[in-house]
Amino acid sequence: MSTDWHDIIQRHMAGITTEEEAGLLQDSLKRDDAFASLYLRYMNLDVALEAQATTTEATRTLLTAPAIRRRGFQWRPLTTAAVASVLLAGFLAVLFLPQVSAAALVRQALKVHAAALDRCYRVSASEEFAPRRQAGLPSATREILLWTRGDRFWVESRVGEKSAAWGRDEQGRVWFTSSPNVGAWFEADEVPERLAQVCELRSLQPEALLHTLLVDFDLRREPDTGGSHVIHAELKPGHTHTRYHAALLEVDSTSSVLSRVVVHRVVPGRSPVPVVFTLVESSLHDESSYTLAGHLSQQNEIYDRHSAPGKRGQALADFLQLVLGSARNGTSPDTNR
Amino acid sequence: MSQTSEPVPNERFFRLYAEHEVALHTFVRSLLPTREDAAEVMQEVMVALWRGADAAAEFRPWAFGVARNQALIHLRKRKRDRHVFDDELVNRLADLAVAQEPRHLAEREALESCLQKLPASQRELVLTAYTKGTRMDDLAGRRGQTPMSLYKLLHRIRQSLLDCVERTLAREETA
Repeated sequence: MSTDWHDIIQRHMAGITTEEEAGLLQDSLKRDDAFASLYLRYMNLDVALEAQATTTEATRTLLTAPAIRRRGFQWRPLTTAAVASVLLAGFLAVLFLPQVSAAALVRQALKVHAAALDRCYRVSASEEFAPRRQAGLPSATREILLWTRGDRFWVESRVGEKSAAWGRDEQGRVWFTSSPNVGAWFEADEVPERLAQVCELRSLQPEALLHTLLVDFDLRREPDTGGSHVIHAELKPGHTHTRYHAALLEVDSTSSVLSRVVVHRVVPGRSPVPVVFTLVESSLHDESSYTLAGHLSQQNEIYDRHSAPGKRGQALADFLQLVLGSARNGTSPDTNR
Repeated sequence: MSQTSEPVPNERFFRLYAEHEVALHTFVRSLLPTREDAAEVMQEVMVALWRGADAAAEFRPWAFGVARNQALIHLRKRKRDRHVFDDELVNRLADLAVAQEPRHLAEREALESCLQKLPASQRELVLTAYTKGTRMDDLAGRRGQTPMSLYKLLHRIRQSLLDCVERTLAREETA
């Protein structure tokens, strides 16, 4: 049996000690302070190397990622612990370097938003997109809350006593419900245009947005005046983007969380539409809230492309009626592509 | 637009958590047999901290206590594993880890410059070995090595990093 203490500790770290070595390790750790300190130093090194490797891998991913990704953008899933390890290194760097560049602040926000934590934003879309107003109807009191975790999101829209929820999963499927008993979803390749527009305008995928801004936009930082860093993002000369025209970010100076985002969305045939996302809270929620099932009662019906004709279309019409206040136009939303 | 945002509820918790997370992770790692165990327990620790943060008078000692309990709960589930320490040893290591955290913080800071001093091939190797999802036998195969020779090489790199960290801190202390 080896008597090299460095070797025994490292064999323990690799999970390959023999029973005899494991017993010797435990006995020595109990009676020898110097040995216990050496053991703790190795463990500290282990955690620090893991964090360093995660940072390096994240940087490599960022530098080699394609310029524009649509729905498929997926940041490499990181465990909460690994993400938080990455977070701290950059977090402290940003805290103590007040004149870091706008890009560095955005990269730091990107790391923070990769963590498996939930953040809730209040969404204010342009009045231009309130069909009820366009139709000359009084606008209902409407509150839209967006929940994000990494690049996943779900949205809750409340009108008076009624509420609707929708979201998009990691496969690009869009789900929605406006009743605890009925829900539906569309595959990524069959999402009706109006539903796609609802999702696009009122959602925010922080990681995808920040990645895009780093690649295709010029970033400019305003002089700091308060608790947030303010960053303007404008398309680089000669660049175009299918989703964003410009953006303004307010990044909390202590947590590096996006506290306010104004995104000027590209809408074909229209001027860019500003949508404002204001942070309401950060918290930890049940994973199920990002799924359709998490918003339905036990007794429910879920419609998909295989359901009886018209069922899913009716569910979508009811949903859009609640979310947009739009009048039904007699066209089946199932075919309204 | 330069108006200051209102303070956001719960951001204080995440700030405190971010400030202490690496220390907590090192602490948890020292009590558990593998990095995977530590990552799993850290998720439980974060949830437990989140739930109780409002009641804690002082975050740091309370957080280390929570982490110790979560590690013990996890270890009891794996009691028959020979790599698992008994409660007495876990508590002893936990006390030592808390006492030595300032030193460990300094070591983590020194590690960055020591990594840069490694030959590029060794730096690349050790970071690849620590990248999530890397399997040692696959990595050894890609390098045309046996797993045991790769293990020995990593052993030497880690030991040289610890030596470098120690020399760096000793220089700083005498400067």
